[in-house]
Amino acid sequence: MNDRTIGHPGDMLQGYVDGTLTVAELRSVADHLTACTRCRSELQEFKRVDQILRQIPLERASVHLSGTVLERLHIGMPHDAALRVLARVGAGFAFLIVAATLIAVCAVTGVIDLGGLAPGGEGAGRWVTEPWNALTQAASGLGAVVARHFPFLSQQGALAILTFTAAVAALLGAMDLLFSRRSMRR
Amino acid sequence: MIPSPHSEQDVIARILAGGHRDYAILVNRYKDRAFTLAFRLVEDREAAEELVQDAFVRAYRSLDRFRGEASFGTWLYRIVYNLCMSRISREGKRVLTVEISDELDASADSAGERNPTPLEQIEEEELQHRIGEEIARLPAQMRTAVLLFYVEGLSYSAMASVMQIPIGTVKTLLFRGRSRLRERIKGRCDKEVNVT
Repeated sequence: MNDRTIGHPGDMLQGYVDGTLTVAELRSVADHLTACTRCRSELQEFKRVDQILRQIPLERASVHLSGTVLERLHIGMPHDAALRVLARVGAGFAFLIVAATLIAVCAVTGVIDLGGLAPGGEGAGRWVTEPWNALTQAASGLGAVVARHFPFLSQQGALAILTFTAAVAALLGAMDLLFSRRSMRR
Repeated sequence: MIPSPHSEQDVIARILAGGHRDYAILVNRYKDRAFTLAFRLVEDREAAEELVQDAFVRAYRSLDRFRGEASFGTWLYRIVYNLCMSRISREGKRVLTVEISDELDASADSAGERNPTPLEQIEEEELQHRIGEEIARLPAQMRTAVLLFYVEGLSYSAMASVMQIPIGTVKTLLFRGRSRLRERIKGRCDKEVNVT
């Protein structure tokens, strides 16, 4: 038998929870609820499900979504895209600084190690005349220092690692700067 | 009262007047809600992200046709919904498996036979998780109605506009969606009570 035919409000309970009933319907359901335990219990069930559904969590879209949309529309530089470029430029410079530092340390350590400019050392107070020789000697010197601290490495091995690191750092720095310039042009 | 400079109509007016970057305000305002709708419909995070991007791009390109009769959100959800439905149809998933009629009596008939629910015995968090699972099992249109009502907080008329169906059908879908959720959760709870 249909609920309504025996006076139960049935689906009107949902309207009661949603607040979509007319005043007359609302009054009728409210009157019924005061007398019907079953409908009161059912109303609690409606309310419970309603309450849970209202707590469905929002899913978070990617933080890059708005940047990507604006990029697709070719609209200027959105905030997060600008930050990405900035980070890339920063990383580029950082890599280049690392490369330069490695080369500088190589040079200084090499000279000191070889006694070229070390105070009181042989040949103190004069620069090595051939720049290429100076660089080679400096690198060899640093290789020697590293090899001394890490006995399992040969001087050539240490030198190879240092050279490779400096080259990779310089390459990464150059690439980052290049890509950041492209992003800025877009 | 002084209108907010970020009120939707103002933002749209600024965009149409050439302040294209202001579109980011609308994107940021609606991206999570649009994404939630898309994600719950296609059940794939990456696909949902792409669909939402497409929806924002389409909305922007036809922004000059936006008349402001509904909110930008309602308009956007309609695009998201259409894109999701196209995708679901393309993939051959079921879009709607229920016959919609304006009569709600059939759904209400069984409701009167129930005993007091054991829902209250279940931890809230676990129940929410279950509701999430059950929502995913609803037919797409029913799921959309539930999401638009509860997550997006749309009115019946806005839902009808998004889904391009009559308000009566929206109410039916919502009612049946909620009834199914209630029944399924109740069924699962009863099974667990019997097992223990």
